[in-house]
Parts: sequence; C-alpha cells; structure tokens
Amino acid sequence: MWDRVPSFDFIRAYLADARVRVRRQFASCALYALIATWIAIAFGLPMIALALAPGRATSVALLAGGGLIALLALTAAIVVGVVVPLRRYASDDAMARWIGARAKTVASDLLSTVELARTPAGPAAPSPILIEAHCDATARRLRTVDRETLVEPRPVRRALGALVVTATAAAALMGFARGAVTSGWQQLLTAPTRPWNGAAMSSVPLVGDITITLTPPSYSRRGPTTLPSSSGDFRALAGTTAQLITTPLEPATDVALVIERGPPDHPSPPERIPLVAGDDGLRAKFQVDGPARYRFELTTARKQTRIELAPHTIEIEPDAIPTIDLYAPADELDVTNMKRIELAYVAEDDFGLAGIELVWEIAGKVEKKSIAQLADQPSRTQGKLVWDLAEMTLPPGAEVSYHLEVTDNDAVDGPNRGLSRPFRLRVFSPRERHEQHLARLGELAEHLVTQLGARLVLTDGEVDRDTLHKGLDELAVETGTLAAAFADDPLADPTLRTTITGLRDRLTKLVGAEERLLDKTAAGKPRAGAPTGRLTPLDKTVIAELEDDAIALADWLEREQLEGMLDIADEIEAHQKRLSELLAEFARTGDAKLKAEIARELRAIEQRMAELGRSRGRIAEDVLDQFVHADAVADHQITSCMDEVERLVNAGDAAGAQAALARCRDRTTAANQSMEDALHQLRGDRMGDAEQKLDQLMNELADVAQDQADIAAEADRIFERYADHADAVMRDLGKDAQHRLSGLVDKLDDRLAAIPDSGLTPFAREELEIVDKRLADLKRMLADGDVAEALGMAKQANDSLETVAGELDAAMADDPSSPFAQATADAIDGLERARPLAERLLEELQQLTPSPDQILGADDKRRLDALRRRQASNRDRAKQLADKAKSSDGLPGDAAGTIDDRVGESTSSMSQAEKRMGARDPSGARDAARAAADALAKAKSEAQRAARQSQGNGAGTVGDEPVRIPGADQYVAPEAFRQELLEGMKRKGPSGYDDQLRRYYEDLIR
Amino acid sequence: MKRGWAIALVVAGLATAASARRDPSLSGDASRAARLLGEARIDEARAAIADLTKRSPGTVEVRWLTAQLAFLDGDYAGAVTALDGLADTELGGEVGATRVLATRSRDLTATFVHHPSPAGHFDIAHAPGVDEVLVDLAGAALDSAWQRVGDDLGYRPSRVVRVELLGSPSDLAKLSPLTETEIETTGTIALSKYEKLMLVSPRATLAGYPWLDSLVHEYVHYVVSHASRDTIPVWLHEGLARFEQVRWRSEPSAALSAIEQQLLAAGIKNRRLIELDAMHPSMAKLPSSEAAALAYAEVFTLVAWLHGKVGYPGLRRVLELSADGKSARRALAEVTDSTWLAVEKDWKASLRALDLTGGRTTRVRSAKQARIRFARGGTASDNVGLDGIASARARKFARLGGMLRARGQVAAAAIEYGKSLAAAGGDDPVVAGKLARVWVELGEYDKAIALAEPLAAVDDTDAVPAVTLGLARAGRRDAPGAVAAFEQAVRISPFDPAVRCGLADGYAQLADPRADRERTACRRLQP
Repeated sequence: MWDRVPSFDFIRAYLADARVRVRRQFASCALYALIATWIAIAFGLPMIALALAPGRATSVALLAGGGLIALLALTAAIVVGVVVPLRRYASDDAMARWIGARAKTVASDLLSTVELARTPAGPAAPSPILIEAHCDATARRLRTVDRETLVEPRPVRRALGALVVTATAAAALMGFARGAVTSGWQQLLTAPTRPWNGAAMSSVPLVGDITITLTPPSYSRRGPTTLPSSSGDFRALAGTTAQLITTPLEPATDVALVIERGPPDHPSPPERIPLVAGDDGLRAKFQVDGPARYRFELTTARKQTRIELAPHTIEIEPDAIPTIDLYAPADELDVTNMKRIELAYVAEDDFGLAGIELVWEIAGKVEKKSIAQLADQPSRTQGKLVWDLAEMTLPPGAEVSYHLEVTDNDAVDGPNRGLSRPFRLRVFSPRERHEQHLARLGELAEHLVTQLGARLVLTDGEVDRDTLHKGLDELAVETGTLAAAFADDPLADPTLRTTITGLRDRLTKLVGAEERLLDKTAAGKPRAGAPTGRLTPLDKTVIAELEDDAIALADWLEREQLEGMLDIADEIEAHQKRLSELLAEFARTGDAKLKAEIARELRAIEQRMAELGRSRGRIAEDVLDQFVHADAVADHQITSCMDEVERLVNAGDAAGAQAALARCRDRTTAANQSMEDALHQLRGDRMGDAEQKLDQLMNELADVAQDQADIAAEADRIFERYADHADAVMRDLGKDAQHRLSGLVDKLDDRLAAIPDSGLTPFAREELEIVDKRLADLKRMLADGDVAEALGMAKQANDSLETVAGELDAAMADDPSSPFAQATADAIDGLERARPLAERLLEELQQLTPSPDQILGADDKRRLDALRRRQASNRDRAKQLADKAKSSDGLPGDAAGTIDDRVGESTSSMSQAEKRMGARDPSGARDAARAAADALAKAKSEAQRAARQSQGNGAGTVGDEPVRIPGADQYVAPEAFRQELLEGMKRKGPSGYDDQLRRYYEDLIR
Repeated sequence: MKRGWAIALVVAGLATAASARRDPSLSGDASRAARLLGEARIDEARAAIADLTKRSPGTVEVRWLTAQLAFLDGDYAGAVTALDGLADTELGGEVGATRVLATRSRDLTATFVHHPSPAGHFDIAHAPGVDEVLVDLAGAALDSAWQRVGDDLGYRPSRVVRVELLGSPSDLAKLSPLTETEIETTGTIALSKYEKLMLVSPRATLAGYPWLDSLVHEYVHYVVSHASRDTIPVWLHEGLARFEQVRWRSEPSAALSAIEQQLLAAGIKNRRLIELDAMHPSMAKLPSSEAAALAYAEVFTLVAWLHGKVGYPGLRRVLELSADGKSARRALAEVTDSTWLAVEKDWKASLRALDLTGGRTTRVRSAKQARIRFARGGTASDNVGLDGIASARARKFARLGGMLRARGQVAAAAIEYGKSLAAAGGDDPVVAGKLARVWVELGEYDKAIALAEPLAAVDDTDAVPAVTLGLARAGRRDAPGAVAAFEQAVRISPFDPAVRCGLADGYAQLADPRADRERTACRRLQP
C-alpha cells in the first residue's frame, strides 16, 4: 500500500542511496588500510632482515609472520569493509537510525515513518491518511537534508593519508635504497649455500708433518727459509712464495688446500689448491699476497669430504717505511737567492732503498728533483749535496719549505715512501731592507719637492694655507720615522743618519713657527685664503730650507744609488771573471759538467743586470731636453753583449763566447769606472770635506804603495843577481861535493843495508825505506850539482834515522822478552853504526853550502842595506798612514777602517822584509817586500770600494761558497772511520798478536 | 781620410815578394796594378788586373789583386772567394789582412738593404730597421754635395759611390783599421776608405751628432783622394773636408763656430796648437776629441785662408799639382806664388788676426760638452750639462728646476731656472736652453724664442735649442721659422720624433713635397 505513496518512494530511495554511500565509505577505508599494510610489510620485512641478518629459520619465520599479517589484514579489511556494512545497514530501520543520528531534524520522524510503513494494513493500523501525511512531511524534511553531508569524509581521508605516507616511504626506499630492499628480500627468500661446499668440519687435523718453505720476493734479497714440522702457521713478506709439503693422516683420494685470503672479517672467496704427490709427500705452492688463512680438505675413497675446522694462519711481515734524516745548516735559514746550501742525509730501510728526492714548496707550488738513484738498493745510505738555489726563481721575501723523500725497493706493493722533517729557507738580505729605506727616502724627496713646488708658486689669496701647513707637518713626521728606520739600518751611512735627523729637526722647528704665525692670523681672519703678508718672511725661509733639503736628499739618493749600482756592478764583474775561467776550462777539457756551472754564471749575470736596471729608478732630476737613443745606452750594450755570449755558449762555441765575453768585460769595466768616477765626483763636488780627506789619504796610500812596489822591485833585482851568483857557486860546489861525498854516501848505504830486517818493526821498516829513498835522491842531487837540495835530502834522512832509533828503543822497552828482541837489538846496533855517518854527511854538506851573505856581492850587500833603511822608512810612513786613517772622522763608507786594517797588515810584512834585509837574506827579503807591496795595492782597491757604502754581502765577490752544515766534516769522518775500523777488524792479524790487536781496536773505539 | 798608405806598403811588399819568386814581368805588372788601386784609380786598375788575370789567373798576386778589386767594388763575398785556398801569410800577410776585412765586411753587410740616392750618384746601404729614416736625408745631402763639391774641387766620381750606414762604433772598428777606443776617444765616427763612405748611425750615440755634415765631410775626402790620386796629407785633406762639408747646404764660409773659436783662442793663448805633422796618420789617432776638434779648427782656417787668397781655382790647382807628384806644401807654395815657410807664416799670422772673441762673449757649450757622447754608464743622463755650469748656486737652482719640471710643476720649475739663470750671470747656455724649453711648455713662446734663438745661432751642433726654437716657432704658427729650426735639428738628431714630426707639419703648411717623407719618418719613429 505504501508503495503507491510517492513520498514514501522518495524516502526509500533516499535510504538506499545513503546505504550505498555508507558501505562505500567502509569499503574504501578498508581497502586503503589493507594496501598500506601490505606496502609496509613489503618494505618493512627486508629492512628487518637486513637489520637482523637472520639465519634461514628466522628468515622463514619473518616471511611467515609477514604473510600472516598480510592475510590478517586482508581478512580484517573484508570483514570491516564489506561484511560489517552489509549486515549492519541492511534494514531501512538501521539506515533511518543512522541518518537520524546525523540529521536531527528528521531523526524520529524518519524512523517512525519507516516503522509505520512496515505496519500491516488492518484495523489496528494507523490512519493511512495520517501516515501518508506523516510520510509527506518526513519526505519534505528529508529533502532538505543533503545526502552528501551525511557521510563523513574524514575516515576515508585518514585511511588514504596512511596509504599515501606508506607509499611515499616505500617509493623513497626504492629510490634511495633499492639495493637494500632487494638484498633484504634476497636474504629472506634465498637459502644460503653450505660452507666449504658441504664438506664436514673436522675438529682434528687432517694432515701431519707439515714442512713449509718460504721464498721471499727478490727485492728483499733474502734466501728461502724452511720451517720443518710446522704447525702450519707462518709469517711472510707479501710476495713470498710458500711451498707446503705434508702427509694425510688417513687414506684419501684427494687432498687440497683451501685458502681464504684477506682479513678474517672480509675474506675473499676460498681458493682451492689441490696437493700433488711428490717424493716426500703431498705438496702445494702458492703466493702470499696478504694476510690469509688456510685449511686442509680431505676426500676419502667413499667420497666423504672433510675440512679442518681450525684454520692455519698466514701473517704478513710488514715492509717498513724507509726513514730519512735530513741535515741542513739550520731549521730556518736566511739566504740570498743565489746561495748554495749544503745538505746531508742518512736514509735507511729494512730491505733496500731505491731513490731519494729533494722536494720543495714555494707559495703552494711543489717541485722536486732526484738527488740519488740507488741502483744497488742499499739498506742504508748517506750523502751530501750542495743545493743551488739558483735553480729556483726566488723573489725577495720568498719562503721555501723543503724536505727529502726516500722510496724503498718494494716491488710487490709498490715503493714505500718516507719523508724527512721539513726545513725552511727565507730569502732575505740586508741590502733589500736598506733599499726599502732608500725607497722611502725617495718618497720623502718626492713629497719635499712637491711641497717646494707648491710654495714657490703661492700667490696671495689663492692658496689654502692649512693644506700647505699640513703638508709641511707631514714632511716633518715622515722625516722622523725615516730617521728612526735608518737608525736600525746597518748599511746606512752615519752621515746620512745625521743628515736625516738634522732635516727632521729643522722641519719640526719650521712647522712650529708656521703654526704660531697661522694661529695669530686666524685670530683675526679666517685661515683659508688668508693673506700671506705676515708669513712672507717665513715662506722664504721655508722655501730656502726645502730647496736645500731637496738637493741634499737628491745627492744622497744619487750617491746611494751609485754605490748600490757599483756593488752590483762589482758582482757582475766577479761573475764575468768566473765565467771567463769556466769557459777557458771548458775549452780546455770539454767537461760537460762545466756547462751547468757556466749556465749558472750566465743566469747570475742576467739577474744582476736586471737588478742593475731596477736600481736605476731614482728621484728624477730633470726632463730630458734632448732625444736619447735607447740603443746607445750602456746597459743595453752590455746586455746585448751578454746575450751574444749566451748564444755562443749554447752553440757550443767556447772560444767565441770567451772572445765575446772579453768585449763585455771591457764594457762592464768601462761602465763601472764611469760610475766610480761619477761617485767620486758626486762625493767631491757635493759632499765636500769627507771626500777631500779621503783623497788625501788615498794619495798618501798611493805614495806608500808605489814606494813599496819600488822596494819590492829592487829586492827582486837583488835576489835575481843573488840567485844567478848562487847558482854558479853551487854548481862549482856540487862538483866538489860529489867527488868528496859519494864515498860517504855509499858507506852509509852499506851500513843501512846491514841492519837486520827481522829486528825492525813495520813502522821502522817504512821509515828506513824513506831513508833509502832520500839517500838515492841525495846522490842524484849531488850528481846534478845541487848542493842545497842535497842538504835538504840529508836533513830528511837524518831525521828519519832518528825516528827509527826511537821506534826500535820503544819496541825493546815495550816487550824485552819478545821473540824478536834479539833481532831488534841487532837492528839498533846496526842503526847506531849508520847514524854517525849520516850526521857527518849532513855536516859536510852544511859546510859546503855557503850562506847568502857569502854569496852576495859587495855592491848588493850595500844595496840591501840601503833597501833596509828605505823599507824601514816606508814602514814608518805606512804606520803613520794607518794611524791617520784611524783617527779620521767622517770618511765616506768604511774607508778609514779599511785603510787602517789593510795598511796595518802590510806593516808586518814590511817589518819582516826589513829583518830579512838586515839578515842579508835576499830570498826572504824579496818575498816579504812583495807581500807588503801586494797588500798595499790591495788596500788601495779595497779602500776605494769601502769608501762607498757597501750594500752587498761582500764587495765584488760572487759569494759562491755554499752555506755549510755546522760540523759537517765531523759528521762524515766518524762514519768513514767506523767503516774502516770494521774492515780492519775483519782482517786476520799476525799470529801471536791477537791480544795486542784487540787492545788496539778497543783503544781506537774509545 | 788619407787612404792608400796600406796599399803603398803592399806594393813594396809585393814587389819584394814577387821578385823573389818566379815571374819578374808579372811582378812588375802586379805592382803597377796595386799602385793604381792605392792611388784610387780604380778603372785603370781594373783593366790592369783583367789583363793580369788573362795571363796568370792562378798566381797569388793576381788572385789577391782580384780580391782587392772585388772588395773595393763592394763584392765582399767575391773577394773572400778569390782568396780561397791561399794562406794568410802570403804576400807578407796581405792575403790574411784582406781576407779578414772582406770576411768581416761580408758578414756585417750581408743583410743590408740598398737605396740609390735621388740623383743616383750614391748607393746607400744600411741594416734593416730604423736607419731607413736616414736614407732620404742622406741621399739628398750627398747629391747636393756631389754637384757643389764637384764644381768647387773639379772632380765628380764617374761611378756610384757606396755609402754604408753602420749600427755602432764597433761595426766601424770591424770594417776599418780604427779601434773602438780611438773612435770613442776622438769622436771619429765616419770614414772614407776602401772606395766607400762609412758612417755610424746617430742612434749609436746618446744624443746624435752632425751626421749629415760628417757624411758630406767624408765625401769630400773621397773627392780629394781621387782628384789628387790620394797624395794629399792628412792636414790638408781634413782642412778641405772641413771647409767643404757645409757646401751641400750653404755657400763657402770661413766663419768659425763659437766652440772652434774657443778652442783656437785657447790653443793660441797656451801655445798648444796641434802641429800639422802631428795630425798624421789620422785625426782619429789624436789623444782626445778636444785635440781633434782643435786640429780641425786649425786646418779649417788654413783652407779658408787659402780659399780667401786663391779661391776654388787655387784649391783645384793644389789638387792637380799633388796628383802630379808635388808635395802639398810645394803645391800650396806654388799656388800662392810663395814659399811654404811664407805660407805657414802668413796663415799663422792670419790666425792671430782672427776675431775669436765669439767664444768668450757668446756663452756656448764647452768642447767637452759638445763632443759626441757614447754611453759609458754611471752618470745621470737626465742631468746633462749641469756640471758645466760654473756657479754652484746656479747649478743648485737648475737642478731644482729640473726636479720640479720632472714632476710636472712647470711654473715652479721656471722660477727655479730663472733663479739659476740670474745666478749664472744671465747667459748660461744650458740653463737658458732649459728655461726656453719650460717656456715652451708653459705656452710662453716669445720668451722661449728670445732665449733659444741666440743659442741655436751660435751652436749649430746642439739639437736642443734648435728643437726648442722649432717647437716655439711652431707654437706661434711661424711655419718657415719652425722648419728652419727643425732642419738644423735634424742634421744632428734625425731619430727625434719631435723633429721629424715638426718638420712634417711645417713642410705640410708650406706645401713642401718633403712633407710626405717626414710624415713617414714621423710615423716610423713615434713610440
């Protein structure tokens, strides 16, 4: 009946629709949860497997657990998502209640409508009209309830969210740890193979009588070692070949060695090496390349395979890293960039050294060079080398870290490398610091000239007084700091220090005066653009001061520049001289080693030339009004000339290079002389008194030197006449001497021959051989008529005989009961018979030799006496000159000290000459007079050089001597000495002397 | 330069050597050919040598003569080849000497480029490079000299005269008997020898030198040698060359420069005149550049005096008489219709009568300052000339002026230079020159001209005032005046871009066709 009521149809359709929606919600939730659970299981299980690393049983349990959870999840999903909604929401009542719970406006009406509709028709049934009306009313209200809002979306979203999170995590795992997931699954799914190919483990040894022969790698230079009756464990170098010989403890058809190489926690797959039958048992051979373990595997006739449970261990004997100790002059060394440094090293290794390299680093750039390639691979080596820093480009201030690297001869794992501790070099020179100060002096001069220019053109009302004053003030401050810098500069001339200090004081005073005047002016008027009337007298004073100061600074700069350039020029000359010698030597010998030295000198000259070029930068004196040809500039010519030398050297034309170098040297000398003249003129013209004093001293020095040269020349002449005369006299005497003494010499020879050899100690025997040689020489000298030389030989023979006598006496005293005592006594007797003859020979020869006084002619004696007086006079003048120099103040550079020192040194030679002249010894007089003349000539050149402020490390010297390691000589000697001692001790000594030899070596060692 | 002495010696040596050998007739002819070479009679010598070559081509004498001729023709490689296989010691060592000279010449000039002079009378050769800017100037001057000196002395070379521009004094030393020291000491920087003119490029000196006059000077030597068959002694040779060296650009003049006046005045006062015989064998052998300059001044006055008495016909007659075998002294005596003693007396009397006050009244550079300067290193090259300022105060202010100028403080520099000039008495040429240049920099052209004009007029061997004058006149838009000044400067400093560019501008304003030449040089020289 209700089926025909339209509103009830609507209600039923509404309920059906809501039911579908509810069931779909449940199904969706269950499905999402199920999928999320399965994904979690699919990725969680392998992770657990990886984490637990389970055995097979655990893996299966894990798989089963996982499967069970997945199944349970499926069941739960079906029940919760399908079955339960089907059942719970099957009736309209249930749905009406469910809707009523969510839509309160229809809650009771809808349920009652559904219940009324189910009421069967009958008298007790409610009025259909009322029911219909109720249905209509319920339907109307139900229409206002949106079906969409009935089903709450949150549960579905939550389930979906869980699914998304799980799926994302799974995707991430697949993306980033696909291997882990795969491995995990493999671990879960794959059953592991059985160890040792399924062999049964044996807790007892399977073989016995193991003999191991180890053959180490060839680089170790060890012989093979046999370990008989071994437990099987052994230690060997990587690369060793091991051979095992053993016997099975039970009958077997097959025995093999199973090796696991690598560390125990990460072994490589076992390697199976079958043992083969040999004469002395079963044997196997394999190479040891790292730590390993091995077991014996035995197969019986019944095909049962067993393997030892406990492995035998192979340990690796490490090849030690080689060590090297580097010895250098100091941990940190200040050097110039052209120095050579002595280095020494001691390197050691357990098996052998292959090579040594010197490694250095400059500003992060590492360079190396091989210093030793050790072909014979010693286990210990030591050596010295001189490291030429010219190999590197070392800018001033550069720091170099260096060490040695040594490699051993490990041919298996590759050479091991050992490092010495690092040392450091710093390129530094006082000259550079001095030049920095000079650069500041140049800046000061620049500022001073600028200030002068500004003040010269100042016009009333157009100048900012404050700025001018500030400039003057800054000048005074700058001068003060420079004065302080020069005070600590050992290369600064004292007069320069005084000049700068005076300048500072005067400028400071002027600054104060100007300040006061400006203050007075400012009291009445504004400063800027203030009239200058009241300052005019001070302006003139300031300008005059600045003019004088500008000139003074320019003079000093020019002087310092010239002196610096001369120092460099001296070095160039010295290098050119050295190069010339090298080229001559190379032309003579063709020795290829000289090429490197020649290249070094060329490089040094090139560097000095560049330095000379840089030194020309100075305070500009003017703008050239005339055009100057660059080709004609002297430096350019010398540089071109040296380029020509280098070209010829490279072409192998030593003679051509030598000729070109001679031209360059001429140019250099001319340029240097020109600079020297300019400096002399500069000092003379502009720096007054000091140079005049120096001139006076130098003139006196020149006079003394010239007189001494004349004295030496006169002494030469006297000696030459004496020598001619002596030669003639001695020739005559020689004939007579030969006639008179030949018999005596023969007799002495016979006496010496009669000395029994058995009585001589080895030392005495050696000494007697010398006597024989001297006597043979003596005979020859007599035959030549050279009595003086014969006398010398006789003296030496006599001295040696005396030594022999002493030696034999000592031998007798040491061991009077020696079996050789009698023979020694006989030798002493023989010697005593010979010595009077030797003494007589000496006396006769002495008598035959005339004294110089006897040989000198009367005229020469007078000349020698006169020369002695002249020499005495010159010595006094030299002494006075030295004293004068000592007391002279303000001479340029170190001229005073140099004259004092050098002239003072020459006076000792003069005194010696005077004495020899007094003793009528022309030879001695000549030598001493010549030495004095040479010393004075040297004094002249050194004084001239010292007159300029020496800015170099050594005037005119190349400074090639390497920086030595302190005590380096002592460093080598003990090593060589010990080696020699060891070699000596190895030799077999004469029988009966073992004890003495032992004591001797003990003494030496002590 | 006197030439032919060496060859004359060779003649003697050759005659001796050859007479001792096998072919007396050959010896005689060879000696004759050598003599012809020695007398600069090249064409006659060529014929004689050709004849000898036909007769005895392989003999040492003929091969040496062939080599000599090739060398004098400029065929250095041919000369070396002609001597192949001959020992250096042959002909008393002459073979070796020729070989060395020819080899050096060949090697040095191997890469030279050659240019004919505009009129084609000269072949100018130089090493590739910047010396090319000299070629046109040299060619024009030489062609002019060819014409004028030819008129004056009555000789014009029939063959093209070779000119070699050398890069350095050492090159000249390699190609001549002079040493580098002699060259640098006396400033002998050009030579007429071996049938060619050799000139060291001005770029080998620090600040240039009167290179065009020097080149013409050497050409006059060439002319005199040929006109007189190389019989003229050094003193007359040099006198003629000095007198004629300016003829390419001016009329003959007996006017001495202020520096020469200074030197002569001092020489007469101190009785230190150089004797004529002391000038033998070469001015280059005199002990210093000052001595050489004095000697040149002396012989210049001698020739000027002679020219004043007998004119060019008399000078030509002297050459003819000399070529005819008369001594120079005899020739002068005959031309003046007098005796040599009288000639010498009259000349020296004329010397004393000369007005040499110019050297005292006009302040000029000293001879030492004016010498050709080669770099020897050491001295501050931008302070040139200050050491010649007598007053210490003037020197000081001049130095300060220079310092300020070097720092761009030109107005202040002018003040200091002004102080210096005042301290020096107002006429020091060095300070005046510097102040003039500063006035140019400040645009004060009139002041600059007032200072530089007298300096340039009194010393035409100094490029500095000439350049200043050129710049100042150019600043005043006086193109003819600027060109005149720059032309004076280019005769000394042809590599100065200021000079060549100034000339290019000046010529362009005057529509002178030489503008292109100077513009090219200007571009070539600008850094």
